[in-house]
Amino acid sequence: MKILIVEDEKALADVLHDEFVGVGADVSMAYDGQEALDSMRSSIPEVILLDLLLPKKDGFEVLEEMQKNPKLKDVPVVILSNLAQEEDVKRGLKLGAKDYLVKTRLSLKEVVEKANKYVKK
Amino acid sequence: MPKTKTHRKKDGVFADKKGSISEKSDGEYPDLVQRYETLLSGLTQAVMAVDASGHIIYMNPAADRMLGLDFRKVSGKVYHKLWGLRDENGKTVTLKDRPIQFSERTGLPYETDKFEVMAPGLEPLPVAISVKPISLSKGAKHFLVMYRDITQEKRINRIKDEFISLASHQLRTPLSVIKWYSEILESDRLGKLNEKQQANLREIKANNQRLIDLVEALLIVAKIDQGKYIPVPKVVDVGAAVRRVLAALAPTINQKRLKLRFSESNTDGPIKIDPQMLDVVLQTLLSNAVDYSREGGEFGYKTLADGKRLKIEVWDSGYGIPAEEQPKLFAKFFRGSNARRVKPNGTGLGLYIVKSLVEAAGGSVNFKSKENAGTSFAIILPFGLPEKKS
Repeated sequence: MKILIVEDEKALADVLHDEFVGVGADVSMAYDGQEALDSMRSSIPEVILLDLLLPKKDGFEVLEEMQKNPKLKDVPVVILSNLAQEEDVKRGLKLGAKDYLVKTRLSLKEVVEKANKYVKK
Repeated sequence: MPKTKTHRKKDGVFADKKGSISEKSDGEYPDLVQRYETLLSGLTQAVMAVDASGHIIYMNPAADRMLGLDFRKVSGKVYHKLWGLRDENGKTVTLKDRPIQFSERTGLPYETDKFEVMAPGLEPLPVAISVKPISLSKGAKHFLVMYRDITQEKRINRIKDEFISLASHQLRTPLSVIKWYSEILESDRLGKLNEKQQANLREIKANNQRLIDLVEALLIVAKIDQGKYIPVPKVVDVGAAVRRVLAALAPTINQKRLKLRFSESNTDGPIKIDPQMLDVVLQTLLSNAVDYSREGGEFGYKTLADGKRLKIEVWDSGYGIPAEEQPKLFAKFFRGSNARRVKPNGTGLGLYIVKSLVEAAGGSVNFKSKENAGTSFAIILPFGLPEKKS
C-alpha cells in the first residue's frame, strides 16, 4: 500500500507513520494542506489519509483542488479528523472523500484496515 | 397613539372588505378595540391578518417597519406580491410552500424558523413565522400571521455551533494521542510490560475512554439542547449491536458474577432506526443494569420487532431507584442517591440522552423500579423518520 498521511499534530503523525510502516506500507507524510498537494502531484499515492484542520490549506481545500485535477480526482481519500459535526462529514463526503473517520472512535488497527479497504487490489 | 387612530379612521382596524369587525367593535366595544390596537401597535413582533385569498386586512407598525411597507397603502392588497420568503439554501419559497398557503390548505397552524423574509429594498431578515387560522367575522376564514426577527438568535446559535465544533476537536485530539499511544504500549511492540505496568496501562486506557465517552455524550446533549438532533434511520442488526455492548461489558459481568437470565429476541425482517441512537440506548440501559446490580445478581433483555417498531426491554434485580427520586430520573445530570454510592463517577447524562433521542425519533421510554428490588425499562422505537409535526 502506497499511502500519503496528512496530519499536522506531530504526536499523531508519528504514531500513524509507525503503524503503517509496521504493516509494510510505503508511507509519505505531509504536515499541511499545501505540502499534501505538492506531495501527491509529484508522486500519486494509492490512498490518502487526510486530516481536516490543517495549516496553509485545510483538508476541504485539498479535496477541492484534487477534484479539479484529473490525475488526482480518483485517488481515494479517507478523512481522519476529530471534527465530527454532521455538516463537516457531509461536506467532506460531498467533496469526494470515500470515508470519514473520527480519530477517537477508532483504534490504530482499525485505521489501517479502513485505509486498506480503499486501495485498489 | 395618534398614528393608529389615523389607521382606524381611514381603513378600519381590520380593514375587512365589509368592515364587519370595525363596525361591530366600534359600536359595542370601542374601548376594547382601542386597547387591542394599542397593544398590537406596541408589539415589537410583526402582526398581520390576511383573508383566505391573501388580502392584507391588518398590519401593526412593527410589520410596517419589518417589511418596509405602509399599511395604509397596502391594505387590501395581496401579501405574496409585496414580499417574498427564502429558505436556508437561499431558494425562494414558492407560493404553495408559504406558511399562509399551508395553513389555508390544511386548516392547521404553522410555525417555522427556517425562512428569511425578503422585502423590496431591505436586507433579507431571518424570522420565526407563526400562522394561525382564525375567524374575524362570521364564517370567513382569516389568518393571524406573526413574524419575529431572530437575527440575534441565529447569530448566537452559529457562535455556539462553532464553539462546540472547535472545543470538541480540541478535546478529542489529545484524547486520540493517549488512545493510540496506549495501544502501541499494549501491543508489546516496544517491549513486554510486566503485570503491574499492564494494570497501570489498563487504568490509563479505561479513564481515557471515559473522557472520550463523556465528550461524545456532551456533544449529543449540546445537539439535543439546540434541537439539532435529527435521527438518520438505517437498516440495523439489533442482535449484533446487543452482542457488541455485552462483549464490552463482559469483564464487569464476569467480575460481579452476574447472570444474564432472560434474553429473548424476535427481530425478523429489516429494522430501520438510527444506529447511533440504538447504540446509545443499548449501551446506557445494559451498562446501567450491570453497574447497578449486586454481585451474583441477575439482569436480562428482550428485543421485539413487529415490522413497524422495535421494542427493547432491559431489566435488572439490583438497587432500584428510590420512589421519591423517580420523577427526576430523566433530568439532565440527575443521579439517584443510591446510584451515586454504587458508582460515584457516573455523568448523570445517560438516561437524559436516551429519553431525548428516543423521543426525537418519535418513540417512548417507560420504566418501573422498586428500591432494592430492581428496575426495568421498556423502549419503543418506530422505524423510519418521525412524522413531521406541523
